[in-house]
Amino acid sequence: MAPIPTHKSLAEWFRRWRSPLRKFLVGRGAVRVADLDDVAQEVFLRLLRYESAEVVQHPQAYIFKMAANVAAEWAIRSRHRLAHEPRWLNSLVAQDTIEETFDSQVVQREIKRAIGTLSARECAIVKLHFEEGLSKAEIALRLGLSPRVVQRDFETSYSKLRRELALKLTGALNHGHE
Amino acid sequence: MGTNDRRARATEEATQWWTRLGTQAPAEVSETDRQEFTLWLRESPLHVAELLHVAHVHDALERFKLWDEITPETQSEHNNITALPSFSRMAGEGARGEDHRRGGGHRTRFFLAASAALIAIASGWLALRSGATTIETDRAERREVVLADGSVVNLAPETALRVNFSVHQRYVVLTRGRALFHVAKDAARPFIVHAGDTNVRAVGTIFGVEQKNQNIIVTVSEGKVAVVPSASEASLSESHSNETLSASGASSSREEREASLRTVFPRAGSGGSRIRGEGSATVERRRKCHGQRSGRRGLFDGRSADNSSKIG
Repeated sequence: MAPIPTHKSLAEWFRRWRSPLRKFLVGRGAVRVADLDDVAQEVFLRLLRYESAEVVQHPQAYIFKMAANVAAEWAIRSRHRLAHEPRWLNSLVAQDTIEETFDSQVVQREIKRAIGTLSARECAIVKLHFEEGLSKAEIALRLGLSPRVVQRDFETSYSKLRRELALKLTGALNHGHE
Repeated sequence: MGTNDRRARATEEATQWWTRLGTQAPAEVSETDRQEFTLWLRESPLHVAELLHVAHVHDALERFKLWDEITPETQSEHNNITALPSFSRMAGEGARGEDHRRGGGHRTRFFLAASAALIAIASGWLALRSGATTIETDRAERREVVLADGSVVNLAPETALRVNFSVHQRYVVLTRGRALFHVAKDAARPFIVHAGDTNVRAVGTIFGVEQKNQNIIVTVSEGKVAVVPSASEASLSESHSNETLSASGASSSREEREASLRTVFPRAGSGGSRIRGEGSATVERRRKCHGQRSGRRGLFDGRSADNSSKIG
């Protein structure tokens, strides 16, 4: 389990919060996307235990730190639950890590397919942000749009991708782990 | 609200939080925002789950490596848009001669600019002439708008309507949501509300129109209105004071179309209801006593709507 968060490490988390889920999806304490809802339930319960004032300081950091902790704890628990028989070892070794699965062609194709469902403008905006690293203001300038439109398109794209990616990608991740 | 609706709403809110907080440096996120975000997270495990899912989407996009293969221009939605000739192509075509090319390029650009300006002026003039205005409300926002003819419209949250008044009629299109119309009397110009495939015509009344999925719910508080499928005048039903009429627009033929007309908040001596025309609609009438509640309140608190939308 990760160490108990101090304000300093939380601040560090906060600085890196743009890709925080990687921390908890990848690595030893990785959790399947299929389990995200269960993890969220546990995170929610823990969130209620904290003082509100404490969480308000760095809400994103708290939530992802908690998610990472839950994932790590569950990973340890499931390791202990596994039967320690030699015949299981081979399958364990053969497993891809989640990072490898993410990089697999199947998943890349799936992400590409999901991006294909976006409208041309949404697609252009998302591409400029993730490929060229442009900020939303810069994208607005580049495409001659208002920042509000860029912001709204981002929201719509994420909602669409959330719907599109969910099951398929989970399937791909499960495939790598089952 | 069903589980899917709740999840969809949570996804929407999660994406809003994600992009809103993501665009600011951590130090710039205001105390209020952080408080609101924390409250939102603490409201439901669904919110936490959706935030994690949205984070997962973000992560997936960050790891995506095939951006080269993504060409926004080829997305199907905009296939009908023709790209303007690029300057390089113009240059290529201009091998015939420098002067000619320059002149041709300028001329083309001039014509393009002129036609664009002409289109802009024409559409602006048309918009002014038709007087179409769009009125919208956001989530949790209610608006009361006085229209040009003195009619008053109360818009429920997440409602959009387009107002288009002409000399002969006052035409309002309810694009989504619910609205209550307090129509100013003007016998020469009927007040028509178009929702889905239904027209509601009134002269001086108070009535509400709600567009819910495929159903149109018309609730009359005062006076009477005529409800007509916009495709034809054949099936016409009249709804009187304190009545709700709901019709499903999902059915393909008019014969399949079902309408339910019921008295929602009957008062002593309130009139009956009748369906005029060729009788293609099946009408079911029920009476319910709701005590002394005012009909007008019922239009907006959703009670009447919930009771009458299970049609078709």
